[in-house]
Amino acid sequence: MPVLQQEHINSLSPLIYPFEGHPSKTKEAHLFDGEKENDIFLSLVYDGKDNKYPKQFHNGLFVTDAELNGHNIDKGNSFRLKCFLWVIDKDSIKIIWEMTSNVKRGEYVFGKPFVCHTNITGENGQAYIGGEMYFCVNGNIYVNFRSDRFGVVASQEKKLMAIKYMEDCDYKNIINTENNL
Amino acid sequence: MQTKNIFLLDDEFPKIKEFIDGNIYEKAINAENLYHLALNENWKSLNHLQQLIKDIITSEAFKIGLISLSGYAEPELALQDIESGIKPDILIYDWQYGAEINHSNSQKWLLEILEKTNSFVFVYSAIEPTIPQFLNKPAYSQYLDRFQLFFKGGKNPQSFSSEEFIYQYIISSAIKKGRIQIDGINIEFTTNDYLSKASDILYLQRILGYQYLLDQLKKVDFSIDTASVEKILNDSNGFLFINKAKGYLITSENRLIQDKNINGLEKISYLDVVKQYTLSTLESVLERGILHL
Repeated sequence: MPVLQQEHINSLSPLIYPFEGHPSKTKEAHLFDGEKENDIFLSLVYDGKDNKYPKQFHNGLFVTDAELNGHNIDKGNSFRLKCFLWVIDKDSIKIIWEMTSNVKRGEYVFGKPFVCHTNITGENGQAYIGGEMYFCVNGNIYVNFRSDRFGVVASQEKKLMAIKYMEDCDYKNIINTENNL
Repeated sequence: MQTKNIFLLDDEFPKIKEFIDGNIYEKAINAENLYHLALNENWKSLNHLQQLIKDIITSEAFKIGLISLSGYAEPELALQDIESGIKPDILIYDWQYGAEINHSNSQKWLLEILEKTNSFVFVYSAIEPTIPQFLNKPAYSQYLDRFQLFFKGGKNPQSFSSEEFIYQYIISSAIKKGRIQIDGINIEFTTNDYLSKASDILYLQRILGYQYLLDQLKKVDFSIDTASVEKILNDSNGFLFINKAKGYLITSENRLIQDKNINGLEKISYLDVVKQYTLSTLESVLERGILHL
């Protein structure tokens, strides 16, 4: 059951634009040049409906136990080097390695020359929800909803269905880091 | 304080007979000769670079020996010096050399520079829009925190021009004081308890918003120091919640608070977050909604 089914859509809806519903951020004020375009990254975006590792994944990107604890990944914190960004768009889950170079973004957001969630969707693209995922050597996949564009405003129902959809895509041993709060 | 070594790589420095005859372009061009070129020659479309050289050389930091500036007309000359142990702290790298159209040498030299130094590299080019395709590659990913692309003569309307940014980056790396421009407004900057470099002001911009920050800068006489950063953060009335028992900061509007019935939260102002942790911690919480400490 790789692409979204009606059951998923019912709980994941509505699709939202970046920052839509955010209490303090807007697309107009908080989306910078380099964060708006997705065309140059599409070839690197992996369609997770096939439940395999993302395109840029290699064994060196498995999170070790030491990194898991040291960076509090299991509690939802970030470890950029091994972080994969995901969104669920109208069709399926899309994934990209966060450290994919985006030098254009670095020009406008100094110190952040790598991709963000809107480099998957594009400025005017919509998604149901988004966050980060980490593939760990212990076999678990740690998933959070830390995306100010698509995750912060998500309801519990959306989050739970996002996890279920990933499981339906046959991703195994998913740990929702919000359960560790 | 240690002298900051600045390398400037560009094959379009004005070529004058006197320097050609003296083989000046075949090795590191010293600051005196760069200044001579900047003062006396027509740099055509490189007038922004010309001004940057003038600004660096006439800066207080340069005069008291905290900055050393060398120019190279070819990257290979700079790499020779790097191999011989002369390491730049900051390197300004022109992307285009000669008539090369496939950019393979530009990519190769940049990677070599990143591999052989710990420098921060400004990739500086007039063809900036086309460069990302060459740099958005895995080979550069491990160096993403060490280089920055800039458009020659370009301007980000919400912050510094490319040259202003490079200039203030160099100056504030060398000394604790400087003057920066944001949107044409001069702002006096002093390294303080919260911001170590003038470019760190972009944290404030991202946290508080561009317009709000500009309005607040007026109230602190366009001067950034410890007291003014505290005033700006304090006047924002911004706050988060902290869960001391579980050790995390969470944004006040985060819906997890309701969804998970989270108790035991205490209010903590933006200023106290920055005092107890860092400005980058505050930015991370605001971006991610929650951050374990």
